Amino acid sequence: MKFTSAEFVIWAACLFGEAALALILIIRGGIRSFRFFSGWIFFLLLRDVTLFELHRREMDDAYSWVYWNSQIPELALVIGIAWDIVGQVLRYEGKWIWGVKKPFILSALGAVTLAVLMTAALHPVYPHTFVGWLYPSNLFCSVLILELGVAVIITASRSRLTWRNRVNGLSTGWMIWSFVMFLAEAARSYYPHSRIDWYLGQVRLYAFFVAVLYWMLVFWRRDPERKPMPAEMRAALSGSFAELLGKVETGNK
Amino acid sequence: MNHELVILGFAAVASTLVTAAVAKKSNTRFSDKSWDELINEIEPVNVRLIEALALDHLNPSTDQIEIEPFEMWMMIGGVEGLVKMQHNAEIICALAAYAVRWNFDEAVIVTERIRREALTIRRAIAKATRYGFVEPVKRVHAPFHLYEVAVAYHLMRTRVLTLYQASHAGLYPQLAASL
Repeated sequence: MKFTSAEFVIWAACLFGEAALALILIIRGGIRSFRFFSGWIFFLLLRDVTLFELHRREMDDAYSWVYWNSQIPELALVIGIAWDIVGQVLRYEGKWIWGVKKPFILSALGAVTLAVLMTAALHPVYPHTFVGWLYPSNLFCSVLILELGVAVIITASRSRLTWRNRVNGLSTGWMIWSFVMFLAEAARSYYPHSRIDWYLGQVRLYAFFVAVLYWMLVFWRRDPERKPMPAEMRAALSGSFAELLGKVETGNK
Repeated sequence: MNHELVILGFAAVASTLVTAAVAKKSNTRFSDKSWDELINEIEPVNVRLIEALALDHLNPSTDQIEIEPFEMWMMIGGVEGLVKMQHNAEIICALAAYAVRWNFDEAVIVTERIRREALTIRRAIAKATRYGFVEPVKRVHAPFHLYEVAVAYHLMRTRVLTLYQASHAGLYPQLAASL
């Protein structure tokens, strides 16, 4: 497998960016609130270091094996990142905020449907198996990731929920990167092995690197401290009448 | 490969992205404004008539069908009234959130209640105007939703005024005059 100088440089840059971002997530406490995103970054770092070493030793078969077999766990982490964003925006301390669960589920189902339709319409030249659909770097997943982000944004906006800085930054970078990924995959399916395919493939790499730099900045900054909430407020915000009643009864004793 | 389907697919993805961007922008429309700017954005509505409609629903009298659907429509102010109430509902949400800086404990709860009422208003307006007022056979649905709109707006207005009375008496007169 041969890389051009530019491809090698950007690959190395992404690797260093992932390492720096992982360090920032540890130092600045991003791991606590964004577990799946942190897990994904650590996973990418580990995988890219492995791939880098395999490439250096010219072990192409092992390289191919690691690259393709790491896609399924990566997909699980990527879906988990959507859950991280949902947890920060649409849920409060593990409970759905009032009025968002049903709209979000409907939007998420719409996202899955659109991803399936888009993939069926573009009929990518690869993968040749259904499992291949589940690779994050492929068309179905790129559309799914993009549309899940759209579902969260629309649900939160229509429910008049506010975004804290870090989750806002994470989702902004995420949406832009996944949109570029979608365009690159669509070009690869529609114009396989063409100049457009090659250019957008390069743009995808650079877009990921820019996203990593942006996330470094986002997670370096701290979110303002949340004031601690008493149980009554927590119950009211999560709409748990049972909790509120329990607190009232305890207070009456 | 069906080219029409591909174009349709791209259009669908593009439209979802545009919808998300517009929704996000509209959600933060009032968050950067100052208190005075928010007050200036409030649209005048006929508060007394809306309150009368809301109280008719909340405090049933012996004649519970006294107000006819077309009278409700006039009391609300028609389509223009509904648009203004929806606009004001968003500003009231922003004003309640503003009060968090002076009265965290109470304002957080009140803000959440107002947020829910704002959602109720939006959904009720969407349902009330879905069938319009030009098809008599479907007119039966709209009055129920107009009551919801009036009650939610009345409660939102009362909540935010009471919150400011307790949290920032200095701003209360200006707020009461605007709402």
